[in-house]
Amino acid sequence: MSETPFLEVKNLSKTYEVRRLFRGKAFVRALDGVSFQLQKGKTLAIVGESGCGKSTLAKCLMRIEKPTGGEIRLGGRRLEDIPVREWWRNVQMIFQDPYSSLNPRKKVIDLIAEPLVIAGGFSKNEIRVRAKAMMAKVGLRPEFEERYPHMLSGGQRQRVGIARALILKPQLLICDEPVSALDISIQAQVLNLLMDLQDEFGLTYLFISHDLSLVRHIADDVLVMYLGQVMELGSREKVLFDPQHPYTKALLASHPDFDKALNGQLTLEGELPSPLNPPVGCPFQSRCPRVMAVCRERRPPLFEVKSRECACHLYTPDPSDSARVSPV
Amino acid sequence: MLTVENLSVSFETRRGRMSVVEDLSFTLERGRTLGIVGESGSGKSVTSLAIMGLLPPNARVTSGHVWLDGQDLLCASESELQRIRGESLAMIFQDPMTSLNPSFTVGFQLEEAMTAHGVKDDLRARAVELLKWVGIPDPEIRLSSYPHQLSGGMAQRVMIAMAIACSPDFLIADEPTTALDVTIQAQILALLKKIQKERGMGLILITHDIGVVAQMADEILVMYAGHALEKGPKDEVIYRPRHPYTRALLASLPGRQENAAFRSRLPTIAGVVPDLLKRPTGCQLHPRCEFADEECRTKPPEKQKVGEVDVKCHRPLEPQ
Amino acid sequence: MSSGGAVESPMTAPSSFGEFWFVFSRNRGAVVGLAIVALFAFLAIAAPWIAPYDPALISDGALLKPPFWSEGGEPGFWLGTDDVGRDLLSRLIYGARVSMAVGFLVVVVSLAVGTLLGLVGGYAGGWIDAVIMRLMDILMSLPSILLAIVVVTVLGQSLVNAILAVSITVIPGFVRLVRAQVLVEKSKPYVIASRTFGAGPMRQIFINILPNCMAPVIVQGTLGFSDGILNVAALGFLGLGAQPPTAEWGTMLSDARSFIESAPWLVTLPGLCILILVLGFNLLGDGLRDALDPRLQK
Repeated sequence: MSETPFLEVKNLSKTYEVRRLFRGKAFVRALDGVSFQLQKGKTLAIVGESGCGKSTLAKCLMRIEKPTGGEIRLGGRRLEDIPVREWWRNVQMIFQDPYSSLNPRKKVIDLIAEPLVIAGGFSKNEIRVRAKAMMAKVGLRPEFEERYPHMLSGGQRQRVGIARALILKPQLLICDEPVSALDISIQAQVLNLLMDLQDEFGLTYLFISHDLSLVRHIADDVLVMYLGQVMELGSREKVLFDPQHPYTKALLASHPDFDKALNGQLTLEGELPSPLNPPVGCPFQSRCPRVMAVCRERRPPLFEVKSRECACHLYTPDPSDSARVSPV
Repeated sequence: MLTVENLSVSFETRRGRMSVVEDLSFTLERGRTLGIVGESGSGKSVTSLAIMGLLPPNARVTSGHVWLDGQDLLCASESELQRIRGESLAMIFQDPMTSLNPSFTVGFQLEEAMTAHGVKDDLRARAVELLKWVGIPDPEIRLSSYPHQLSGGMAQRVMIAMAIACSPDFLIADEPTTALDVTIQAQILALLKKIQKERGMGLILITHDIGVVAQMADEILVMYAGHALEKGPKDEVIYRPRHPYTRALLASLPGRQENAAFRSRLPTIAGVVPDLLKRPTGCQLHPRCEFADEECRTKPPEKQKVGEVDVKCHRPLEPQ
Repeated sequence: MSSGGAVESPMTAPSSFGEFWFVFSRNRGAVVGLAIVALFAFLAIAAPWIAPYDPALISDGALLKPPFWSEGGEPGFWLGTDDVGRDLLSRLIYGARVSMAVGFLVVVVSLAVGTLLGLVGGYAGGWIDAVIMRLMDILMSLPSILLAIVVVTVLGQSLVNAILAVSITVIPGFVRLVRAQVLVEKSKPYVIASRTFGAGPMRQIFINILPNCMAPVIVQGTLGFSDGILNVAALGFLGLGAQPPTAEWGTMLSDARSFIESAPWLVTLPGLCILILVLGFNLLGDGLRDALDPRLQK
């Protein structure tokens, strides 16, 4: 890429230490060598099942957790060189659960104004004016100002969450499953709002979701993760419409779309392996329908296949190892 | 055959009586799947609890019948219901982890489910058989596992095994895969389908995910604020919706053909679900419906038959 | 979430006080408790105006007079007099003053200290938490009345010291309660969200977390009132609390021990007062718990 990417993540790793009674310590590699780039004004979707590391990634980007390895750069500057307060002015987050992510004892206007109050340097009047303006932007009518979160519906609460995240005028917004807790008739409203705000403020989105139809609708690029590792990374057209990695294919096949009947052959066998005891070699080998001998020995590197990156031995350019074995 | 006839259920709440299901009717035969779709508060879960006779103490069935092969379950005694639950009707819930008792092993709970209905012989062998049947590897070892040692998908399989232990005629699955990952969801749905086919069971699948019902159901019932707005064969409801609500709901889903244009604005349904203590007059949908007129605002619509579909609407749509 | 009971009702959610009062007023015990507490609070405040005599005033000609309804009673002394000729009714009314004040001070002191320690321990974690909790464990491992006796013996016998001693014994309950509550709230997304706006520990603890921990603390505080009253009365009975001539129910009980047969009202009435007031606080506390704890509702 010619220009500097707005967000650049290189080889990011996060290992948690788990203390177990009588059995000593264990390590969970929640993130294992994750790399991607995100251009300004674009949307990158992170897709994967529970335990794939998408929440840990969000926490590392929000600087709630400290990565154990790798590098994060924002606008070309290293994360370590940016004071945390400044970071939070540029990077904000919308949470999945609109119920527990708002302080139940605060009024809507105070919730939205909280980041300004903490940041300091604004007069009371200025804070109020800006909070009100932000309420209007996210479609909350003025009479909601004095209400408490429990008086709002899920969609309205999520609008409060969005207004609060945007009031410091951040450039990067991390959306952690922003609509999955909402009713279906409300999801479209919130998605439209997110798209409108992106256009208006030129926001860059990192969009975490398990809903592939939604990702298909709004993401420019898609990153598929499994057990903390990148499986496939590329543009929406490549990854979702012409998937190469067996896991991406399986995810798409499992996704309930009503234009296709339930297809028993395409569903994956088995369960997600325990992150405490991940498989040797490729993390997906224990469930992969196209597993080979080499998959159980070596972790496949990310490799460019058909204009996207893909970590799978099927595409590793070393055919000597690719002796097929029968599927498990 | 399971028939729900003009069922109405209300709750006594602190703010007054709240009617959550109003005049609901449907019929389900063995071997068929009925998908009930609705948003939160649409009354879909309450309907299933009413059928099972498991309504909370502050709920009352104000009218209607639930017929199971000619017997009205709402008039059945608690001891009769206990027999019926398990032998004729069974239910699985959204969160398999909390539906299993954390203090007992899987085997104990499975055997308990059988002894409760008079099965005495070969309990262990039957339990192993059941676990094998629902696709649990190493069933002999799993029998002595505790629920916390299972993954969500495994726990839901165990719940299904317990539910079908006494070969019920009808199974109600209330959001059975909502708490699970997509690849596991696909496995559980495939399992439910297999069980239904092989045992000739009637299945009621309650979910908010239209994609899931579309894959599973023969018939779909769309609920809104306690009313069945539309009920009909799957393809009719999904591809030729007659009710404005069904059509708007389908249109608002991202990734549907109509919305395939990348980042296009999604059609939305304005407003929110009504407060059930302050129901709107007339049609429950009228404050959110783009086609609502004076009649919709004042007169509640009656159920009418349009082709193969039952619709509760004054102005049913022409199929597009 | 999708059950019929959990319906989104965005427009008409009642105010939290209305909701609270609805549940509370439906609990008959709680209302009775509130009435009892209110009555004693009124007596305590209005003591100088409603008590017929000064509680320390000795009427020479009227020793050990029984209440007015029994034989030998005098209409001037409604509930009779004690062994030195003081009006029992006046002493009981002034005793309410002492007991309410004692309960209040015990709760204020232990609640303030306990909440602070619980907040700090729960939020900071690590060794700070460990030190605080182990200290509390030590306090809790001693029988509270024994601990109070030790404290009073060290500090000297007086009402103030008795209050301090009892407060110390009540603190661990608050610390544990608040800490548990903080641990729950601390991990909630709204606290994490606030952190990403740059909120520091002070703001997190006092503005975000504390108000959300208060409901159970209020309940515990109400129950702490009765603990305080009982324990200070017990110290008074042992002669370690209020010193004569202060009209304190426990001390009055103790003084009247030798007249238990000849003048039973001297023992019965202060005992009854303690019983009723403590019962009132417990009923009130239970009612508050039911009304404030959402887990017990519905």
